[in-house]
Amino acid sequence: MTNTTNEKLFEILYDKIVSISPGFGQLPWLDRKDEFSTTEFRLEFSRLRRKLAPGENLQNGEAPLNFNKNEIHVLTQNGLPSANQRPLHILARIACLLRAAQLLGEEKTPRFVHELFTRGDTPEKCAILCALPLFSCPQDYHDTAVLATRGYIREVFESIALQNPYPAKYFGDPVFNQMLLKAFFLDVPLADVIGLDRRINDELHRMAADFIKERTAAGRALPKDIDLILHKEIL
Amino acid sequence: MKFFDHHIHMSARTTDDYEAMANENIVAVIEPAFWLGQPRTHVGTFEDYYLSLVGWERFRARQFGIAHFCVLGLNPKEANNRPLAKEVLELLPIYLEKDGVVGVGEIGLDDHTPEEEKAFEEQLELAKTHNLPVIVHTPHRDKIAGTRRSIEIVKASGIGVERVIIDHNIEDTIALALDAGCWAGHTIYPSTKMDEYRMAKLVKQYGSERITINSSADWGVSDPLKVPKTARVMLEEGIPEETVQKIVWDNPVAFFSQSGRLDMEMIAERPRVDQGRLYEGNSVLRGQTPKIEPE
Repeated sequence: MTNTTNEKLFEILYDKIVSISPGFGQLPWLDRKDEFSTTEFRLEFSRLRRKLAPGENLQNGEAPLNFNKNEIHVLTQNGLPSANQRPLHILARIACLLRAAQLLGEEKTPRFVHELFTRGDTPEKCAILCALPLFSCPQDYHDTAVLATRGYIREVFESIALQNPYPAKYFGDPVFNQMLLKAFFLDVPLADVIGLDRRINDELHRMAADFIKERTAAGRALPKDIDLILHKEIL
Repeated sequence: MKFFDHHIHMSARTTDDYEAMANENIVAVIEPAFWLGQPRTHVGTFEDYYLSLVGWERFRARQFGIAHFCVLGLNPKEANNRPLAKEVLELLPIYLEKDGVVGVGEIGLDDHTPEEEKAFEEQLELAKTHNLPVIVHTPHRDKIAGTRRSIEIVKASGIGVERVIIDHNIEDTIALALDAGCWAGHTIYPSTKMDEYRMAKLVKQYGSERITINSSADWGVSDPLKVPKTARVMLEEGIPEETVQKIVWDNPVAFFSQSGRLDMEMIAERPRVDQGRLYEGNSVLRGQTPKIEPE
């Protein structure tokens, strides 16, 4: 991902967010580099949802942004699919992360993002995971992405495993396979794993077949879409 | 009747407790950070504890249809390790900004030491900076003097007294808290602190204005159902239902909505029970059929 693309993505997100939540544009470091500090960013990142949705109904921040077809195309092509299915607070945090990455530079950002992730609450973690494929050098965020697959909180796991191009592009087979197996346990839809068809491998076939045996012996139901990763002869 | 237990240490409780609490219509809880029965020795264990209060415990409560909020702080017992206390206080601002953190606490005095007073004052400053209300723990030993001193420290800090709840009151301290303009919390324990009948007497004497009750249930001998049990005794003792409802629901909601992070709408309905959700590799279920309520 080049800086130009990063800038373009940021602009698309920024314009749309400000159009429904003008307070977002008042974050000083969004347009003034000298105002940026990682300490202040951490706090802003945590309080962002309340800033976006001030007033009586604190449940706000769930609103979709309604991107047009062209914007969706650009976002999807550059690593952020399903933008119209993601709430305002997630997209706003993604925009903040893109800006922070521009200001911090390629070298410092991965470590900072990893720290934000480990110290984040669930919605913060989800936003960070959606942003990983959008950074320059996404492979530098491998540890953060893998850590997310090791948790089971459903929203966090889904944010890395589903509708996210990161795993198929950057995970090796062992991590990718474990992620898929975990997806069975969580009963999340495998059809939403981007690039799944390209990443099927023999070890995954074996793991899925063993999983079926285990589940059948326990008299438990099988995941609906397990056939997506089975050998045709097993089906 | 809906119940809000605004001081309960759920991390120390079992899923049976959550289930029993939900059955009694405890709809929301607040878990104040406190100690673990023995002093911690590293700042990292505090950080993981805070993370669990904004993460795992919130999730665990939701699986049983209970909304979980927390208040974060350095408890007075551990404030006596000054080098560690300094590290914890430096860490706190990160976590005080998280959604669902509705106050600073529980802070205050235990052994009445200068170190405890310092950490207390510093955290009142944090509460002002982060615009959060405060739960003040009053000491078990030398309680009356400790409550007086705590109120002096609160007043000297410049935080609005209406943003402070003086907790664990007894007959000898309730007037101190109320006269100071603070809220007065009462912990109903099986054998110490305060019981249901004494509490009913206090309500008859003082009414319901700025008065709350809680269980402070933890890893010791304690009872997570003390709020509904006390409400029942109050009703039996002839206290009007409206007064009781104010004490067990309206008052804690009003107090903690001063945080700007909790409002009546957020807890109007208890969270939909969805035990199919998992957290960080652990379901609270072990082979049972998940209870999932229709949307």
